[in-house]
Amino acid sequence: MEGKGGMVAEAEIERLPVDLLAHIFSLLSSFRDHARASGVCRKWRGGVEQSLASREWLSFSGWKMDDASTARLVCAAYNLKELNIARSCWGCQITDEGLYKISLAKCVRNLTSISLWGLAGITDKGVIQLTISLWSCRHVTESGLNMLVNKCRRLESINVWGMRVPVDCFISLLSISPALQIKPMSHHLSIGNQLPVS
Amino acid sequence: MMSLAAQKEKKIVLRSSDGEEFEVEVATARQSKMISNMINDGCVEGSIPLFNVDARTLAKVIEYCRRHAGATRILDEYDNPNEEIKSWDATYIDVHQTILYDILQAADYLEIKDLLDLACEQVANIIRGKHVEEIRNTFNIKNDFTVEEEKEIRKQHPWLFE
Repeated sequence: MEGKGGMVAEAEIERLPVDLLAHIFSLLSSFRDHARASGVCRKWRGGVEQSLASREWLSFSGWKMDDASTARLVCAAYNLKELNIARSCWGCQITDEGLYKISLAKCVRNLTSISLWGLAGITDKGVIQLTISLWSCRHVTESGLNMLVNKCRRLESINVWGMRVPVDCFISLLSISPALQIKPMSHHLSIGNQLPVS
Repeated sequence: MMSLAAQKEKKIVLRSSDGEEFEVEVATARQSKMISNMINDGCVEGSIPLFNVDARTLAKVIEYCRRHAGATRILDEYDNPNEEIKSWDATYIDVHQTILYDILQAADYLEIKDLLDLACEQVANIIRGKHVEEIRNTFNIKNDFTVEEEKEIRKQHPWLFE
């Protein structure tokens, strides 16, 4: 809806301070709209950055995201508490490189939940706080996992169902963070990296 | 302390930045958190000067507050905003950009959260789905990026200017 404001002589919107622009941008749920808004002018770019910085959750579920753009957004979200980078039918494909980049973000220490679940729309929100869910993520490698656990010292449990990572990797994760619960423990520590039959 | 009944009857006078006075009911004035706090603190004597809001904008804001203060039920039984007020809001906010930004800034200043959200949502609606160039044209914004910056943006989002 364009209202009646399609034609104006001056850039009236310039009157709005950056924090009000940021409030407007926080209502845009599409990252495509975010990216476009940040490409309009410098002030808008600042507004988009500010709106990201105040976000407490990000979900890329349903978006075709790559490592670089996902990591850039996560790095800009200083107050992030929940991150959902689940692979959806649109192919949000995060590799260990993306995980590595995400693990360098300032917000990582405060994350209480990350979901890398293989389907859209399912997060561990409200189920187990401080959980990393890596269900069926075959693009995550050992080094990516190591980096995550190393940085996220408040992490209480990690769900690695269906991942192709050797048992040694989980043992080394436990040496970093002895209290970490790796789920489902039985599968991985008894039958190694074979995929459970579903 | 005066009784609730007396408070209901009492009117409050708001004075716009250009000196026009508006007499409003307490319930209407209380839609603004800022004014509500002033009333609670007992610092409302005579008229309240609003230095950042002109008469045209104030009249429009009062229209919103009066409607929302008067609505007996803003939420339906499922806690969703009721359809009647939603459609009233949609008509109310369908205004020229100039007035829209006036309302937005006034709502921010007076701390009327629902009105601020309504106005911001209206602007967000204009932005949604538009390409960069379309957004610039719609809002009449000049591209102030340097050639290098624009190159960098294009590198980050190759599809952005398509």
